[in-house]
Order: sequence, then C-alpha cells, then structure tokens
Amino acid sequence: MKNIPRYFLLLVVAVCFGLCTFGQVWAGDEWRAIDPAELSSKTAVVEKDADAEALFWDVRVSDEVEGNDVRTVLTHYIRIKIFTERGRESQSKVDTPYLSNWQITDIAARTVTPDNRIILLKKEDVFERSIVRSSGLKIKAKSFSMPGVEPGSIIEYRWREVRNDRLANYIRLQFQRDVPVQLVKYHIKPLTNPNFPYGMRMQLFHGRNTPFVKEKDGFYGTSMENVPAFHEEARMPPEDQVRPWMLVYYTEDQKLAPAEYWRETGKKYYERFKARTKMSDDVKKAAADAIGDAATPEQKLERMFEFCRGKIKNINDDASGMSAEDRAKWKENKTPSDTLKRGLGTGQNIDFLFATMAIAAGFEVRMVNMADRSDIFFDPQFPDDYFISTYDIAVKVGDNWSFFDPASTYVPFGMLRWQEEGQDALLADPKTPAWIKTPMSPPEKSLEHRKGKFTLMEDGTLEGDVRIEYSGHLGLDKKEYNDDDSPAEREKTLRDSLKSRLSTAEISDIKIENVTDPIKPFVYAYHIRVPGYAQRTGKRLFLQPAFFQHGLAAMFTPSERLHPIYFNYPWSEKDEIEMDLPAGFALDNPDSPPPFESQNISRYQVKLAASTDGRKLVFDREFFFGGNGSILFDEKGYSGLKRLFDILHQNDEHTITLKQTTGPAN
Amino acid sequence: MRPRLIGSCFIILLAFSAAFAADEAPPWLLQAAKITTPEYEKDLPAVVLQREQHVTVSEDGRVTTVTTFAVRILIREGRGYAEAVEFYESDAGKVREMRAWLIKPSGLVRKYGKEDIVDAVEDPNDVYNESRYKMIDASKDADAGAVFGYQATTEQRSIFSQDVWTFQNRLPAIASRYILTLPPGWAAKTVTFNHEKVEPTISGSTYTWELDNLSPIKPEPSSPRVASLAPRLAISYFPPGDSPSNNFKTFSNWSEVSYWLTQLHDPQAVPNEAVSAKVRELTASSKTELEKIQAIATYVQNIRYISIDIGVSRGGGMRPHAAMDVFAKSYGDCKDKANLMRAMLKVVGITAYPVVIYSGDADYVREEWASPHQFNHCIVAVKVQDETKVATIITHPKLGRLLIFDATDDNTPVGDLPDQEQGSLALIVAGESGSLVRMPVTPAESNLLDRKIEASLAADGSLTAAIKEKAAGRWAVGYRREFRGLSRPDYQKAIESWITSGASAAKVSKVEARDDLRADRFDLDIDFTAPAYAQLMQDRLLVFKPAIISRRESLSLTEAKRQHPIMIKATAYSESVSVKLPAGFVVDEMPDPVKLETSFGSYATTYEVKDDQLLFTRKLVQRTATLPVDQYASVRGFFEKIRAAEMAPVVLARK
Repeated sequence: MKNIPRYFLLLVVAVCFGLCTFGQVWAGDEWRAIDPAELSSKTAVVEKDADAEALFWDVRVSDEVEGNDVRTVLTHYIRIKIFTERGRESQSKVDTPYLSNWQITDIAARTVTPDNRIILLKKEDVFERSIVRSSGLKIKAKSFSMPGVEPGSIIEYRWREVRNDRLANYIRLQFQRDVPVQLVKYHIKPLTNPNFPYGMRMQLFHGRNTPFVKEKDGFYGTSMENVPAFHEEARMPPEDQVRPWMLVYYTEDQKLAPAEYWRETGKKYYERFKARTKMSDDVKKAAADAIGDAATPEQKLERMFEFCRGKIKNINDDASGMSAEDRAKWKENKTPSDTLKRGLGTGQNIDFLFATMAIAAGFEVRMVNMADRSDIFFDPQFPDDYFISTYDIAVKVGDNWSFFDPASTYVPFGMLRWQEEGQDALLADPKTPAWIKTPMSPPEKSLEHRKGKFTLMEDGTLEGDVRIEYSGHLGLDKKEYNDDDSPAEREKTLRDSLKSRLSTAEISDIKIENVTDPIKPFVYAYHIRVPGYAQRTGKRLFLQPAFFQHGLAAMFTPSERLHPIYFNYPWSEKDEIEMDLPAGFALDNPDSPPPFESQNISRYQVKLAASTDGRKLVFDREFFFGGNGSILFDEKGYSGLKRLFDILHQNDEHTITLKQTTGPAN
Repeated sequence: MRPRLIGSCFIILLAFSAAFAADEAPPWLLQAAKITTPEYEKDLPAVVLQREQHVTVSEDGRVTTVTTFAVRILIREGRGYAEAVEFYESDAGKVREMRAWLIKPSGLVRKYGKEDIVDAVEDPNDVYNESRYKMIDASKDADAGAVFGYQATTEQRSIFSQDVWTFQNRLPAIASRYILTLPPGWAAKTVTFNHEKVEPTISGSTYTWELDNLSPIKPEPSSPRVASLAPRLAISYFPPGDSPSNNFKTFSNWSEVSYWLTQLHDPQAVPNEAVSAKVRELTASSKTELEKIQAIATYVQNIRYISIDIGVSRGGGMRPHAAMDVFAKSYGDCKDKANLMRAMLKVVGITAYPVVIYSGDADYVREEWASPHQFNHCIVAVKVQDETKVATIITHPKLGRLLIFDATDDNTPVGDLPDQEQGSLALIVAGESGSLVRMPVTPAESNLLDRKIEASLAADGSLTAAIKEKAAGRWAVGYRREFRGLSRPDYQKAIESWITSGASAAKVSKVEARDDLRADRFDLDIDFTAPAYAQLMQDRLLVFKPAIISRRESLSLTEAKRQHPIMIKATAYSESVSVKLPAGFVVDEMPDPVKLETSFGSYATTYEVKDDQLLFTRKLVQRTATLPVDQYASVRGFFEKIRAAEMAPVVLARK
C-alpha cells in the first residue's frame, strides 16, 4: 500500500509542517461550555510548573472519496489554559500552514479572560499569507493572534483542514505538545469503498490510549489523558522513541500474525534482491580480479568491499563532487553490470554490485532490512515494513552472517553505520526469512587516539605538537562533518574547537589528513602554544596533565532526568602525553587519579610517571564507554551514570604540583 | 545504507530546478568573470566582482531598479553567495524580472530563470507582513572558482524620495556603483557615511557614484557593526527648484521628518473610555509621577509583541495602529506600544512623544541625513517634572526633561534603556519641535552585579557554598531574560550548568530568584555543595581557586592582530568570598593581589586570612568606550590579566 505514489506527499508535508501535531476533532458548531473551576484555576494539573496547559485537544480525521477524488478532512479544536506570561507568549499566535490545493476553513477562536469576558477573534484579524511559492508548489498559511490574552485566560480555537488528493496513510499523529495536555482525543474515519481493498490500521507507540470505540458517522475514537509536555534533553533517544504517537496507515486486510507477515515480506524482499543482483560475466571477472590472491573468505570479501567502495563513485555522497544538476541528469543503472561499466552509481547500485560480486565469488548473500536507530528502536512484533527502510548486504561466512555497507563511503570494513548496528534485521530469503541481529561494534573499533609532546615553561605556558587519530564511528563522524568543507573551513573547525576549551591557545602547522579517504583514520596534527596553561604561584606550578580534556565541561550537569540516556555508539579514548618540565622545578610527589571500572561498560585508567632524571612527565590515559553494547540506559540509572561521568571529569581535572627548586630566572 | 530523505519544504522547492544546459552568460558577466582579484586570506569565502544598482525615478512616483551583481566563489563555504535575492513590498511593488547565471570553473554556463525563482515572505513569523523577496539559489550548483551573476528589475511605488546604498557587505568588492536617473530638471544630494565623500559623475540627469577595490570587512569580537564600517551612501532627490512633488515626500531637515511622523502618530494616540478606565485602575495607588509612569509602562510592556504591517511603501510601516485597537486586542508592535503608552499617559495628564531609533547599532543613525529611513524601532519620551529622577532622563532644548523608555523590551524597566539603544541618535517626534538627540548612556555603577559567597571548605576538598547575588541594570536584564524565558525546570538546569562549570559535580540544593522589575533589581540565591572542589595532594596540600564561580576562563579577544576598533560596554561587578578553612590546615601560598587601572576600566583582587577564614574580593568596572585599533594590545592584555588572576589558586598546607 505504501507504494501508492500519490500518497507520498502526505508524509513529506507532515515532515515539513509538523501538521500532525495539530490533530484534533471538533464535532459541534458551538463552543463547548467552560467549567468555571478551569477558568479560576491557578496551576496546571498535569505538570505543576507548566506555563500553559491544553485542557483538551480534539481532532477528527476523516478520509473521504468523491467521484475519483480522495481527501483527508481534519477538524481541530483545542482549548488551552494560560498560566504565565511565558505561556501567553508561546501559545497565543497560531499559524495553520497548508499546500495550495488544500483548504483551511471555518477558523474560529476566542479568549475567555479570568473575569469571564469573552473576546472573539474577528474575521479581519485572520491573515492569509503565501509563505513561499515556486514553480509547481505553493505553501500558504492562515495566521492569527489570539485577542486579549492574559495569564489566567483560556484560549480556544478550531479550524477545518481539507487535504485533497491524499489519504491519512502512514502519518504520525502526535499525542504530545510543547505544553501538557489533560485530554487528547482522536476520532478517525477510515475510507470505506468497495473499490478500495485496504483497511486502516492504527498503531500506538510509547503511551497508553483508550481502546478505539465506534462512534457515530463511521468514526472510531481513542484518547489519552494527562500527557506531559515534551522536554528535550541531551543524549536522549530519538524523539519518536520517547513521545507518544500513533501511526495511521492502510494495508491489505491479510490478518497475518507478525511471524507470518515477516515470512511473506522476507520472501518478497528476496525476489527484489534477486532482481537487483543479476549476474554477468563482467561482474564475475571484476570479482575475480578484485579477489586476486586473497585466501580467506574475510580477505576476499574485504578486497571486493574495498573495490566497490573505492572504485565506484557514489553519486549521493556530498563529497562526490557531483552537483545538483549532475544528479538531476543522472539515469539509474539497471544492473550491477551497468554500475561496473560506468564506475559510478547510487548507494543502492554499489551495495548490489558488491552483493553480486560476492555471489560470483561463491558466497551465500542476502539483503537485510532494518529500521534506522536514529528514528526509532524497532520491534518486529509490529507487522508492517514501514520502519525497515534501510538495508545492508549480509554474507554468510562459516556459520554466521556478516554485514556490509560499501555504499557508505566512510564505514570501515566489518562495521555498519551506527544507525544500523545492534538492530533487528530481516534477512530476505526465498524459503526461510528470519530476524537476525546486526552486531554492535565494540568501543575499541571507534577510537580517539591522541598523542602530545609538550614543553612546559616556568611561566605556565605549554607548547608542543599534537596528533589525533579518529577511527570507526568517530572517524566517520569527523569525515562526514569535514568532507564537504574547504581546507580553510576545516582548519577553522579545529581552531574553534580548541579555542572553546583553551581560549589563549595559539595554533599553527595544522594538518588534517585522510578527510575523504574511505580507509585511513581521520587525523588532526598541529602545533600549539597555550600561555597560562599551568597556574604559577610564588613557589609552585600547578599542572593539569590531561591536556586533551582541559577546559571540557562535564557530560551531564542537570540533577534530574526525564528520558532514558542514549549514546549513539560505544567509543574509546587513548591519550599518550610527554611533557618536558621547566628547569628550576621538580615534580612534587605526583599522584594519579584513581582508576575505575563499571561492569565492563566503562573503564578509566591513567599511568602517570616521571623520567628517571625527573625532567619529563609521562601521562597515559585510557577510557572506554559502551562495553557489551550498553548504550541505552533507563532514566532511573541517570544518577549512577552522571556519577561516573562526574568522576571522569574530576579525574581529568586532576592537578599535579611542580615545586620550585631554584630561584626564578632573570 | 540509508535512503535519502528530503527534509524541508525549501529543499523540495529547490529540487524543482531545471537541469543544466549549454547556456550562455551575458557579456557583462563574462567580462566580470575575467577580472583578476587580489590575493585574499585563505578563509575569505567570496569576492564581489560587480555590485550595481541603477535606479530610475519617474515623476509619477514609480521607481524602477535594475540590480546587476557578480560574485566569484573562492572556497566551498562561499557557495551560499551564489544567490540572487530581491526584496519588494507586495502592496506597491514587484520584481518584474530576475535572471541569473553560473559560470563554472570549466567555463560551462547554467542559466536560471522563472522556473527557478522562489517567492517568499520576508518574516514567516509575522502574522502579516507585505515585505517579500524573490530568490534564485544557485548554491547547490556552485563551487570554488565559479562566478555567479544575476540581473533583476524591480518596480516600486514609493512616497519617499530617498534611498540608501551600501557599497559592500563584509565581502570585498572590486566595483560597486549606484546609478540614479532622475526626471529632467530634478537634482540629487547625497551624504557618504564611513568613507570620505563620494562624488558622482553626472551625465544629463543620470548620476553615478562608484567605489572600487573595497577590502573585506573581517568579523571581529567587540567590533562595530558592519553597517558602521562599510561605506554607505544616503541619497535624497528633489523636483526642480526644491518645490515639493505631489508624488514624493522629501525632507530637508529633521524638523520636517518629525513633523511628518507626528502626523502619522498623533491621530492614533487617542484614548477611549476603555483605555481611560484601565489607566485609572492602574494608577489608582500611584502617588508620584514616576509611579504613574511605571504602572502604565509595566502594563504596556506586558502587551504581546505582534507585528502586522500594511501599506508599508506608503508609510504604513511607520503609522501605529489606533491605541484603542491595540488595547482591545492586547497586542502590537513597537510603535503600537509606544503609541498606546502615550495615549494612556495622556489620561493622567502626562505628555509623551514617540521616539524613532535604530535598534541594534548605536552608531547607525547619522545627523547629516534627515530621513525616516534611518530608523527601525520606536520607543517613547515622557515629559517629566523635576521631581522625577532616573538615569535615562535627557534635557531637550525645547521640550524639557524627557524620560526615555522602551515599551517593547519587557525586561528593561523605567529608568534603564536597552544596551543597543544607549548612546544612539534618535528622533523625538514632536511636530516642528522634534529633533535628533543622543540617547542616554547608563554608567557602570548602574550596571552592577554584587555577589557575596559564604563557603566552607572541608579537609577532603569538598565545598559548601551559599551565593547571594544582587543584579542591576544590564546584569538584571540578562538575569531576568533568562529567568522569564525558561520554564522552571529549564531554569534550574541552566543554574546547575553554570555552577558546575566552576565547581565540578556540584549539587545545587537551592535556587531562589526574586525579580523586581520596577526597582531594577534581580536577586538570586543559590546553595550548593561540590564534592571535590579543592584537590587534596599527597594528603598534605589542599589547592583551590577562590574565584569559585563565573571565573573568566576564556577570552574573546585572542587574535594577535585587529582590524577594527574595540567597543566596550559599561558594566561592573563586585564579589566578596569568605571561605572557612578546614581545621588542621593553614594558608601556605596566596596569589598576589592584582590592581589594573586603564582608561576603559579597572580591576582589583585582594586576599586576606582572618582567623580561620580566607577573604577574597574582586572588582571590575568597565566604562563604555570605543577604542582605536592601536590600543588593542592594551585591551587584550587587560582581559588576559583578569583571566590569569581568576584562575590563580590558593594553597593550604596541613599543619
């Protein structure tokens, strides 16, 4: 069903406007009566400190057909209690954006002041604006500002929205707003037509709604109570993994249990895979040439992987050098042989060329589909393939499946994009499709390896040379961030990053290596001079040996946490620092910060030593996080996690003393 | 492998761009593309090869502008400059034609036409605004070495016979010219800002002003705004014999501008009974003139800021909505608020005048050019008696004592003025008595943060501290803006983040904020503990920084060289810290006190041990100043020394 192309724009529009957040149903022509207790209330019910609270949020969603034309009609009605000035500012201006072939009608709004005065929105105070127009597309908006709003007021507004030429298919209806909501109600009327062989499905995520109840005129209603406002936090899972929302979609009424659905889907996917991996002599030859003298299966796969990644240009890659019009002109390769001949292709072309070459080399090869971990953590108990839109190539090596993604230029052999690691993946197969788990790369695969050779001056200035290598996901992130930038901009990025933690630093001889190299680690090398790095007192110098952490803030500072804590991937850090100490000063019994370890999830250790003549300080630091694939933590575990990173921060701020042994030099 | 998703409406629209074809660029662009440019710094994104506007004025009030622009992209970050943008007012103008070309380094040309034009509102956040723009975005096709050019023709009907031309933005410009063709017999006068006077070449009734080889204007911290650095031409044109034209509004002095604006404002500042009743209610308990002003000011400040501009090209953008309408709807923009405040003050017998000002750059408005085009904001001047005394009163030669107040900024009380307006020239709109005057500047002492910290240090290095801050002026505005702008949980988080930036892993147990807008005070009390504030070394030394929070740990003036003057704003803080020392420890080393005295500020620290307490004080006074580049080293050194002083540790030793 989701292949019906005319419905695609619905999803795009939802992305553009966030319109789904408005969804609510309104049934009558009159304003609903206001409870005097609500008008006089001084504090919110759902969240006591809220600046405003929606008393109800009601949306009717009706799919309709008239002749050959389909449309979705949404009728919205929302009532909001304003408690503070901040609530007034955030809630009392309303925009209803829409596409040119949509209609926004029946706008009505009113403010009820704390002293029960009713101020209606006048027709002339609703402004229609053309927000943006270009050839073929026009986005408009009707906008108004609620009149006479003050803290204590109740505002309410409603409007009707007609979305022509589309149905409510694969749309995400939100239950959460920027303010808490006492009652969210959706009333949904599916399209029923003898010529339309699909049934509407509704799937709720991350919340508890009431069971759908049949209402009059073909609507089905559900509701949710006391939904808190959405609050964003650092290092939280993707929004749709924590917000309550409902997916509405049409599908054939097959009544398949999840296992059965996926079995059928896996078979269908295999047919598609087979069609895209059409074998030819030139692909066989390319596979043989790439493999050369490689002996083991892993070596063979690596050679083919590097061939596809290195020799076939990915036109979707922003560092490919292809411009927008080059891409617009691009004609799709039809077979792996086409991709091979042209030496360029889409990411999909490259992945399927690799798959075909691996088949040519005698491997058992499949396509695996999975959800994107940056969107949602997918549960295969949901029997629809809407979420599993990303894919990789699986190759059987021995008894196990290994996974490959040569289309992602910077993903190292043996790894996947982090969004695809640790995911349930549907293995396409003609007979026995199955769900298998993609591996999560361990911390050591994503290493930030930092080396520094410095000289400390007696005035506290630190000067020396630094080299940092980033591998795995860390390297990929750096390459993706930098590859589209000019050399000057890449240098600026590095300078800004250093200045943000060492504002007095003077940086020179910058070298940034392997920015677009698919294999080698991303490298920063530079010379740095930091006046005032160590603090000088009358007879001592105080030095933080952890140069690479100097000036960094702690990972977590808030004491409370609402959402789970989520790291994109495990990572590790290794620092090797040598520091020549100034004449006239000696280390004063330096001690190391204590090591710590947390159930193989994380470990920190430091080795701090002086050369035998006491003139050189050696500081080695190792840290990793995310061992055992532990990257998601329940919010109840926040205090423990915060403590770990606080200790890490304190250890990194650890200072040692240098004692003056002679008088100051003149 | 991820599928590529389209993420925004704009991308969708731009994706409609037509494919490349073997197009041809016009001769003027081909010629511009051949220009050899000087060697610039390697991070300069682009250089403007040609920047030209040809304005043709008709006697009937129609103004036709042909813009010709060419830019060479120097590095990839300059791709965003491959963009044609033309603004217009939808009620009285249009972009008649817009064409663009991109010459790639290979010489291949792409032409952009109607199908590539995006037409959009200038500010999508306004409820209604007639200001729009048309744009061609070629940035996706451009890369280093490419030359982008466009030509656009706009038509506008305007009641003004004035214009402004900026010869450059931050980019260098090889050739920049403004051409004005007037009806026969008309004449033009100009004033040049930020550059010696640019004289025109005149051919018949066509004037051309040109500047060549303009250097880039590098962004620098604490620098004047680019509008105060880039050469700018202010143009006024007149019909024969300086007789007023029926179709154009001309101004020859500030009094005329004041008179014209007064006609727009005064009829709107009439209170009705509803407004009068509200004023009576608001001022019922006010005993003094100042209290009445404060009561009304607070009410108007709390009206929502919503901008609805209609008939902008006919001066509608300068005419406020009627006070009674703004009062009824409880929303309006800056001039609506100023106007409502005037109407409300009128009810209690207090006269007030609108004041038009440029918000955002105190150096923008220049006396030499009488024009309403120099302003973008409206505040109010309240005529006050001698008994009323606050820091923002000026004495006008004709109007007497005027209290200047911005009713739009709801964080700045009566008696203070937003930073960006202080010291600016502004026009008091008072008929023929109106004139351009300098806005007041509040002294450092009015912008004081007073902080007291009582702390206790334990032998294990843990610290318990209670902070009491009293903020006024600029400090209070900043604190208030944060407090009002964030929800309570987010405010708590912001405080925790601030405290932990100085005291790692601190636990904040109390945050108590008390805001008194009318008294220009914001008090903040915070209690916290930090488990390892001081570091215990070899179980013998305890080392800690007595500047516990808000240390100056970073510098903004870090570059070795400087191109532009340094602007310093008046501010002051005073801090006293008392740290109870742990039993069994004595002070082994204390930093030397610091005393810095310069023309633009002073800074001092003191340390003293009294009984078992370490007493530390620091005090900064910064005076408003614009300092020439040759004083950069001295300014930079001043702040570097402060940073060093605030990072200096105290060493305790076990007895």
